[in-house]
Amino acid sequence: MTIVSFAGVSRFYGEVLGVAGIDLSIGPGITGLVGPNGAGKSTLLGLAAALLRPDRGEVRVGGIPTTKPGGLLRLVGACPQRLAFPPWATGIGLLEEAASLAGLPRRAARRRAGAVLARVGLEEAGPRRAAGYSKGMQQRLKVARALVHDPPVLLLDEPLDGLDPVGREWMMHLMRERADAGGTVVVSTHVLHEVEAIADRVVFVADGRVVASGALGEVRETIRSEPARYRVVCGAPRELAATLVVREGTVSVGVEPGEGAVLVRTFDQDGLLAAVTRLAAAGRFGITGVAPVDRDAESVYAYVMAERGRSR
Amino acid sequence: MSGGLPVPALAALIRAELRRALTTRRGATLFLAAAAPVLLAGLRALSTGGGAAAALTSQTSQVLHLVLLRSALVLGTADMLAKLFSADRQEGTLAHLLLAPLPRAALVLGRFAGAAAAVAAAFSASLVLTAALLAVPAARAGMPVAATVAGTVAGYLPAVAAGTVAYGAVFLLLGLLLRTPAIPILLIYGWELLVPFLPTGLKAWSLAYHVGALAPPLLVHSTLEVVAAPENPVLAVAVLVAVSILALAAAARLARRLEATPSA
Repeated sequence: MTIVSFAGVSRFYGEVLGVAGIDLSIGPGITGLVGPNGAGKSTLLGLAAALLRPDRGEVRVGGIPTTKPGGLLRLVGACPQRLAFPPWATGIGLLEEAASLAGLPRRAARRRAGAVLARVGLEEAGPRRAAGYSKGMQQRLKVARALVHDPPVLLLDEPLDGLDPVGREWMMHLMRERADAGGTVVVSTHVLHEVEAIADRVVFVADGRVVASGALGEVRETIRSEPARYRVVCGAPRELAATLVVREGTVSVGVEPGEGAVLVRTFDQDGLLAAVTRLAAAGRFGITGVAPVDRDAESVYAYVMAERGRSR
Repeated sequence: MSGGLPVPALAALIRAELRRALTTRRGATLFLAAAAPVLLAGLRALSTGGGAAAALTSQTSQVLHLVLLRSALVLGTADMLAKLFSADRQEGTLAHLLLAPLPRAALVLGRFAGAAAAVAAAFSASLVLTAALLAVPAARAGMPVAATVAGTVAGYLPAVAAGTVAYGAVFLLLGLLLRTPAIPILLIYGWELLVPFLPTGLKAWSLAYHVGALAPPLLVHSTLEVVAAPENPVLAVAVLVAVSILALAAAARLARRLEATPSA
């Protein structure tokens, strides 16, 4: 099911490319937008939140085009990376105004603002001016701003920025909770291990283009130019290495010092897995486990970028 | 909220705008402009003796026409309305507004209503105080002034209200159209100041001419002025309403172009 869709979307800032020719569908769950600074992540989120207009193409959320922000923003809670707070606004006042603008009558808006403020752990700071909050508190307030009308879609631009470890844990829990409740969370980050911890799917963005998307494992599968890396845990690593190194498709085999494990790089991962399974079933080399070691976000990102570099 | 008019949201926009204008630095220039005729009237009250009380009507006419309607109201409205969105853009707070689940036209018109209400409130207060201070010399001379002050306020209030809406709509449009509307605003202001000296045919191409028609006539004219017959107030209202509607419709259309770029 597609919740957020980009169809042939391009956006320039004058002469500078924001994003170009984006075709992308995002469904429920947590989707991580990953890419270096300036890759186009914030532009994508800004387009989906109707904060930016595409120069070409169409963006829809829940089937509603971004040209109709009144309807679209009922479904969307957005947390832009750069969002200053008016110097006179208190935390509670800001949320109350946001709830009122979402259509809640005054008293209901006040109640809702208080509840959301408590939800993000800022109830005591609520009456203070938001511009004086610490960065972490402002980040929480931005998320509260996005949650105030309880939207099914959250667009969060670098939401872990400025948060302490407890705050990060809280934010990740919040995202998971929303996704588990059937919501859609799109989160941008350039911190790879974070996206691995939170995202069900990733979208790799570079130079304003989507270079790969899917679950990390799926994306890894599509990269044929890099050999797969597997770690085989066994009792006789040297002997196993000697057996595996002669296999067709094997690029290299290394023994992990003192670990009782072999690291294999191969272009024939199906063949490798079949062989290791056969050897384990035959009770040879004391094999106790085999697992890929290059399906983490960092490795996949490096492969994606390397492949992109080669194809340019 | 259903698909109909988003009344609670519009009310919230108007409240927020009033609060911003009346309680924050955003309203500083507006209040300075509104204070100008009051200060002038205060100085006159201090310097004019009881013997000059007979000049009350002509002095009131000059201060309210030339200072309040032609200068202070134009500049105060320009500052509030032309900066309505550009100030948010500069402060990086525009996204707060653009993330509201409202049609952009409603966002613009709601904010316009709030800001115009603030301008009208400031200049109404200015009008009352100015009229009262201008009546001080006459009161000192023992003349009954309460009814005169009330009559003056009632006479000029329609011009203040209509001027706020018409100038406000035009300046809102300029603020949305141009990133830095200062020069066009100064040109408009200069043109409005020139109106008394323009031939009758050209006077109609200003807002000041139509706004002035809704107030008691200016009693003292300089020698260079081209004095025209007063305009029919009904026609003046029709022109000001038409200008306001056209400017607001164009502003509502331009509102679709509002953006909060990642760098803003």
